[in-house]
Amino acid sequence: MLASGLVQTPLARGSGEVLEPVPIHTSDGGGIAGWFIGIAAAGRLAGFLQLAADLAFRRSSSFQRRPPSLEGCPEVADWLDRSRILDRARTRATAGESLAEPFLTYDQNPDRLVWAVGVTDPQGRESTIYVAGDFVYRA
Amino acid sequence: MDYRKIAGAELNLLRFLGVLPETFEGLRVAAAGTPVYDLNGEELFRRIPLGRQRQETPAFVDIAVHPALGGPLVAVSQGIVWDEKALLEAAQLAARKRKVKPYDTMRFVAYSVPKVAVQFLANGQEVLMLELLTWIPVPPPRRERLKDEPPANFERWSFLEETPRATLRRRAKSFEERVAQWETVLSQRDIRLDVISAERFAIFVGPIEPIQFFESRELHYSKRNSDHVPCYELRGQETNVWCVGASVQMVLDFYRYEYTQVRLAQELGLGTLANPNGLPYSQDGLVVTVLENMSSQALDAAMNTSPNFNEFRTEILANRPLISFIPGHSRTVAGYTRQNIVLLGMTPFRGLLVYDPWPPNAGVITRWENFDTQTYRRTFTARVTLV
Repeated sequence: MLASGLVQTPLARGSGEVLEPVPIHTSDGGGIAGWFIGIAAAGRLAGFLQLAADLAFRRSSSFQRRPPSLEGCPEVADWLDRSRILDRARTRATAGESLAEPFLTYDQNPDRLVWAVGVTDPQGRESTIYVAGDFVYRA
Repeated sequence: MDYRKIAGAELNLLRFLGVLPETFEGLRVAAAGTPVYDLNGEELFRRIPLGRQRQETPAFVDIAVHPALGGPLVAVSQGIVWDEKALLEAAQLAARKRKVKPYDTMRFVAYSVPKVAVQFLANGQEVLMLELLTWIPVPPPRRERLKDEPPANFERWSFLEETPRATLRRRAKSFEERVAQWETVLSQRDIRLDVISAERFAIFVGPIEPIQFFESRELHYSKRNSDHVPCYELRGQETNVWCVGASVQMVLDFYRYEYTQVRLAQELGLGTLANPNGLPYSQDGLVVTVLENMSSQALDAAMNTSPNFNEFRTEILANRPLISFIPGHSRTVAGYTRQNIVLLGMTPFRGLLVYDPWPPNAGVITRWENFDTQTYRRTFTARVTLV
């Protein structure tokens, strides 16, 4: 796919590494709403492909402002390392809250990709923290 | 359906369009191919080797037999020689090492499309299934998965049994249309398509040349493509609900009205960085007001409640960016592409170049967004009225 030139490649034609597809879940974490396929170069997430649940092509997006420069591109781990995502979510949690495993989903629209982390406070109340790269917020 | 002929036609078209590289030039669609079955026993596709005379070539094409695959061309692969006889011999050897029970039939099975295995059967019942080339046994079916739960990495699943019925019907319709188109085109002229040749295919499509396969345009400083490079900048939204603010900022920046997002948020009633809020549905029209006010009425803005592709194209051709609202989000559009392969009546790809302010403080440039998979709710245009 990279070699074909159909998708913008990070450094030069045919370059970059196509990462393992990650399912994008529906907001309740149950169903599959699509697929996220990262394109990496030098440890950075240069861009990604997004497919619909039926594998129809939805979009090909790039974090690169001025290809081939990777300046400003997030680290791959920012978007794909669950432990880092969990660490980020902890920065928004309050004392006593427990966090669930993160899952990739979206906030309102499938183009607004986020990792959702379920939160339970000591009284048993549940809420969600969203992590989008280095941006963390409460749902 | 003549699979070999359809395979040749599809491959020649791809080569002609430049999708297939030069290494495919002169390759021959060798034989009728190897049937590959679904787990339910129905034939799914034919795997047809590609080669040159007296020369083994590591390439093959998968041509659909079952309409549910959606189109005749399933995949073109390079890097592996498809030698059915040698593979079956290797599979038999691997099976013997695993002390396989007696069997009477061997066949290729897509145990997890597009992954293929060799299945050994005795009286129609499977006695062993080995994954192609690794020759590792494919595990037996596990218990039923939950609704929408995807198969695991090394798990068998039936493409025909597990794909939703509506999807199968839609794909079958698309397949039948494509095959009918090819049959019409190929019946009109006599051409040898078993050898891939861009030059020969160009002669085949000659009478309707020149044909423009793609029409694309991005924002420039002027309408002269040769003079300038694209000139549009991405702004990430500064809070999780300021996509409209970032979108307005991108359009105003294009016209050299440089405001901070905080200031624009104030104008749009989006709160502050510490206490932000989104634009309510009922306030969509405020975008028009802010674009005009923040340019001291130099921009004449408008809102369209029924966006269509032609509007995007017209605005970009006029060198004007648009703000595009989709459900729950706002972005800007700075280019389009349109595939004009009218030759075979194929559905053309329509794409937009989207400057998307999500994720916050970063944003992404989407090249391309499939226009036909998105829901467009509003567009906002702005044109210069004073110079």
